[in-house]
Amino acid sequence: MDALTFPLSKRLMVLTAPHAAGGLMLELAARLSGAGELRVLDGGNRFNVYPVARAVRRFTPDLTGALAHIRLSRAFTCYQVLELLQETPADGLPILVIDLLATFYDDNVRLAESRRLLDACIPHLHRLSRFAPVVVSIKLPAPLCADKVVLAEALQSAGGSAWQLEALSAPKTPALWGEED
Amino acid sequence: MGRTLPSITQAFIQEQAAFSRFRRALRREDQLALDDLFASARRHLSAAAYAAHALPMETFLLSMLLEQHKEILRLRQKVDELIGDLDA
Repeated sequence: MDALTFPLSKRLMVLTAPHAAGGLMLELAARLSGAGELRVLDGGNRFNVYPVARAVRRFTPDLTGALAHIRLSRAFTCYQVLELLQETPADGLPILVIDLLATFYDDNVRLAESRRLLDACIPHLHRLSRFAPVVVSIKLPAPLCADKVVLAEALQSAGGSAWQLEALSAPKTPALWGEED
Repeated sequence: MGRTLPSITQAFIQEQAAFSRFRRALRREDQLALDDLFASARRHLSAAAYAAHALPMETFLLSMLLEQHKEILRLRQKVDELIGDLDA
């Protein structure tokens, strides 16, 4: 979160993380909602309002007002993702795109079709990022559709900045009586 | 297309799980009292679902208070009856 310095600059940022950095994106949405309106485009049905509300309460007592600042749209297919991006106006509102590639990894969508749709999405992300910060979170594909990793790579290279977040492994507790293995 | 919001029962279970470490640190008798509190909140899940509050824990806490107040009213009535019997 600290790497995403506030105020966010007008550029396309791509976060790659397990679970598409869902928790981090919700926290970011909560922080931004305290400052004004924002758009959230949810590509993986990950936007859970309860954690957002809890986070908002930490920043401001005006819970309803802050939540009303969030304009949420969900897409349930990759075609809907493209349509959402096409229809999103470049009006200067910060945009968070959560788990953009979730529906692109769908087994029923061939790689070539996913690639075509993503290639159509990227110019819209660039269009939007000229007027407002655009933060996109993605996860890597599951082993079953590992060939679709090219989609994540394409998006990472399209971003003005790209971060790869990794879960920290739990620190090993030292044994009380020396080596116990 | 799946659910876009956890059900109130799921939210309740998550909130209860969030206090599991707190519960574990309590004495056994206090653990039972805490379980009673959550059980009393569970009785009002349908009302909590209807309220659709952004912070469901606040509704659960109010449900606990509601059951506590009902208990106080019931005990107060009982005390009044016993006092009336003594005066008679």
